[in-house]
Amino acid sequence: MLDIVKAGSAPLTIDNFVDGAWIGGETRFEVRDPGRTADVVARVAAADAALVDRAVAAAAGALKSWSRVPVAERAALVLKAADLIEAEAEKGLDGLAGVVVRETGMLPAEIVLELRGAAFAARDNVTAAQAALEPVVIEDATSIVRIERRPIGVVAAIVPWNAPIVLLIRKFAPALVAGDTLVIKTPPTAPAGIALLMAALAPLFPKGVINVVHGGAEVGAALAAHPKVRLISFTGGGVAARAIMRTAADTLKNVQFELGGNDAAIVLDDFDLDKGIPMLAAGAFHRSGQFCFAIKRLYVPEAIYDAFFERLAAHLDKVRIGHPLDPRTTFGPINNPGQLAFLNGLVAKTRAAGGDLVELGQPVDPATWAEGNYIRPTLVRRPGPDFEVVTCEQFGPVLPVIAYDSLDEVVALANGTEYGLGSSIWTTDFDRGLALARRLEAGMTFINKNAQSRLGRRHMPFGGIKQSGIGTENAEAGLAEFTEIHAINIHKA
Amino acid sequence: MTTDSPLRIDHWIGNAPVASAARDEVRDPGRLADMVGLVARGGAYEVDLAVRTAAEAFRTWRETPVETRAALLRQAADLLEAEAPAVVGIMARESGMLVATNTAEIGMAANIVRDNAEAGAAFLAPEAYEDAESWVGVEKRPIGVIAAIVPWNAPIILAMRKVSPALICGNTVVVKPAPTAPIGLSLLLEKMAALFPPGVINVVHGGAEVGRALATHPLVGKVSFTGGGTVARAIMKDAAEGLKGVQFELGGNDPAIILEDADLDLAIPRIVGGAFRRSGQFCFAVKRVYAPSSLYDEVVARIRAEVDKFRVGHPLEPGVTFGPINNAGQYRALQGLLARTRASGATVEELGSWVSEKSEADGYYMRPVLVSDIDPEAELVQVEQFGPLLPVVRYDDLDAVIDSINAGELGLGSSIWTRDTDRAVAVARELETGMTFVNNAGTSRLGQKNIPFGGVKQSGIGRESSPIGLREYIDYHAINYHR
Repeated sequence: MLDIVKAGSAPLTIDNFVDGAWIGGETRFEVRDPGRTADVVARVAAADAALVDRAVAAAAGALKSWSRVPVAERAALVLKAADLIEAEAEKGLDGLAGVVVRETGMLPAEIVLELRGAAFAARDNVTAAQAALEPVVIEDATSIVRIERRPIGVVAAIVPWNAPIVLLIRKFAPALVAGDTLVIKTPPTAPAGIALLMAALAPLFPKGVINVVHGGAEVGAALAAHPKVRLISFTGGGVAARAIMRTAADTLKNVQFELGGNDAAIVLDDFDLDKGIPMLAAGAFHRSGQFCFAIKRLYVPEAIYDAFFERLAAHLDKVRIGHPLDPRTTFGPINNPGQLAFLNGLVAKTRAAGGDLVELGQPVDPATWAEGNYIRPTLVRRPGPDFEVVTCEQFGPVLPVIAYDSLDEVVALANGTEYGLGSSIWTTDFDRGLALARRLEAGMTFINKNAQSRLGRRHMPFGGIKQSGIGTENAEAGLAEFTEIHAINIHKA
Repeated sequence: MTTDSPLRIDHWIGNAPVASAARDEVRDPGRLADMVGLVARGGAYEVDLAVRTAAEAFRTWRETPVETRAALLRQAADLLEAEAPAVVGIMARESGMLVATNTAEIGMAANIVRDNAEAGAAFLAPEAYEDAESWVGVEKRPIGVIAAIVPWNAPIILAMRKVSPALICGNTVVVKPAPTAPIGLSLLLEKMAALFPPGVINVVHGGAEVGRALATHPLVGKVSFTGGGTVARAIMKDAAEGLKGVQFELGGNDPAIILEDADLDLAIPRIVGGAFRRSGQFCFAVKRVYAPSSLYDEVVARIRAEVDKFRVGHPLEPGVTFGPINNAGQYRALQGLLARTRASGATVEELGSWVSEKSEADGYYMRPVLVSDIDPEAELVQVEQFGPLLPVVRYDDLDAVIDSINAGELGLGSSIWTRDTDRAVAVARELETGMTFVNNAGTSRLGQKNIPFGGVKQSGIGRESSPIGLREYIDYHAINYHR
């Protein structure tokens, strides 16, 4: 499907996609390989407000006919898109994953899993839509009530760099099956994979249904301000979300935000160190810690703390840090220099505050360490509760490991944050895990693995509470965000 | 009519009155010399006190079984009905609405409370899924403290549409009544709050400053607002700072579309009631009528005859069926619109008759106005007037009417008048509105209970009432256990 360029080859040229046509332009920005920042992966045409306006106009123009395509046909097209995404996953680095790995810095296995997850997300949203889009009809002697679901209209899907394909498809699939049309804004440090995927998928759909624009905050602001956009579905950080909501307020748009977290993992005293440590480490350090529901704080009972810490450190010390396309690598770079600088600053501040930092793992190739955005996975032993590394969302591989004495204490600590995305509990006792989960202020709680099971992907509304988001994605509840309700009340006499 | 001494109304926080140094006068819009109440004017301090009180009450209220919450709400519904006779008079004096309208409003508000109490248990029941590898629980939790900001035009219903779903889901509330109709609502909420643990229902009075303090308070989890778009935009900007969810039910410019086969005997009284009840001051009032050329003259004649029956005067005067406008700002806006409409060349008829003639010194009176022979693009057709000026527009091409309606920014309700309900549904599906009523200008009892009430485009965000409306008052908590 895709003609993919390998690492080290000439940069890709990536254009905006508006009303079925690729639109370049004078102004281009570069996407660099985070593992070898001298390499330009892509040169990307930057959109401006005028092009955003054209993209929204195209999406608005396509809305009427697309919204009248029967749900079953829209669903079939989204399922076809899911098959194409899965076929890309099967190609490994010879497919789309090759590009996404190079622009994001994520490991090939992670991106292949992400593509499979994106195919699942597309199919699961279609499944949820079957029932959720059906009209509800209620009748009595004097009247009939029909509650019908309509497309919400033009949806602006604003996507981050850390898992661009799956996070896009979580918006793409419900929007399209619901009959909405899309203007997608790609993340500036990972736009190429989305653009290439949309190039492959857009021909399945009528012209104007899918539009893609590239650029930074100014493109997001133009979308948030455009009167014809009715929903902004944004995954990213709180600062950008606030700006989007302030702008969206002028035209009273709907917003759906999936934002960051400071997700606490609570280990209980029956934790199985042998089985659990690798799983728990993955929950924090997968994607070098760069995912929204990564474990960001780890709470361990005092009674097992020292043994636990040693085992976790020993496990992490085995990682080999390097370029994701180097087969020896098990731990990739940070996506962009800004995030790396933030993490290095956090490490320095933690050290200056008297933190006990344990840096782990080894570079694959120390000679090329400085060529990319590299940082070693780092544990912070027994940090104080007010340490910035405990209270902030680090979004990277620096993990505070905190000792606790009682469950009441750990619940208060876990909840003592303005975030509330995910959380995880590590125990072999289901009842105990469930009872504790119900005390945590979070949109999601994972028990014994910091991830969604196959069943979880289908049924969990994915999202956070407090400062971690507004609304939700996936499942019937997420699909509802992409629809409007039209109630018809027929009076019989 | 007697002029009672003004009632002194305080904030209500933790089931106790809280005064403020400053007070605002509430005057009878139909008898401006009559000061109905002196209402405490709150600010950031009172909001903070109320929100912290509500947040404290939330800790235990959220743990109350849903059956207990439902039982308390059913008691509250009974109490509203029992207290209605005691407040409908003062509500008439503060809002200008008819006593009968207020009585009906409180009855409907009680039904809304019962509907939400009844819907709660099924809505809040957790879902669980299981397979060989995992268990998934999808649970619903209350959000926390809800700010309920209520307008003056139908304060009891519109407050109960927020308070009752919030409470059944386990939230606590801070209600901000409207400055021009705070008294009846306050009296009812104080009585109702006493049924619940202290801090579950709180009331803070005041203007934009109180709204702003609520929208920016870090312990407020969500703002539910019914009112106008300008205020909604300001609230949403304030809410953005704390990434609060918002639910807005705003204005509409609701069309009534008469098809050629309409039953005019049934339609005309309902359209007139739908347009002129509350002197046109309600969100889903019929704001414009579209009549086919073949029926146009007959429709205008019949509406004229029906509207001319209204008897205008003070709501407490015997025989009055049409009261004043609620406040000076709205009155002046309507007078301006009326003058511009007259100048445009449309046919303007002031109808109805005075029970006893009033002047501007008495209050914000206007007679009901029928406007015919009006251009479809005229201001009166294209804006939300929120008052008793009804344009009747002639049409030949229904598709052009639909396009013109959909070109507008508002999309709350709409109504279609025809004997052919299949055709009505087909036309309804073309209209960009949140609701469409067929052969009436509002919801049936079944509709009240089951319709997610609200609008699209600039008419709102989210919905109220029905299980879909309850969704606005919960957060999801999904639990995924890996075996």
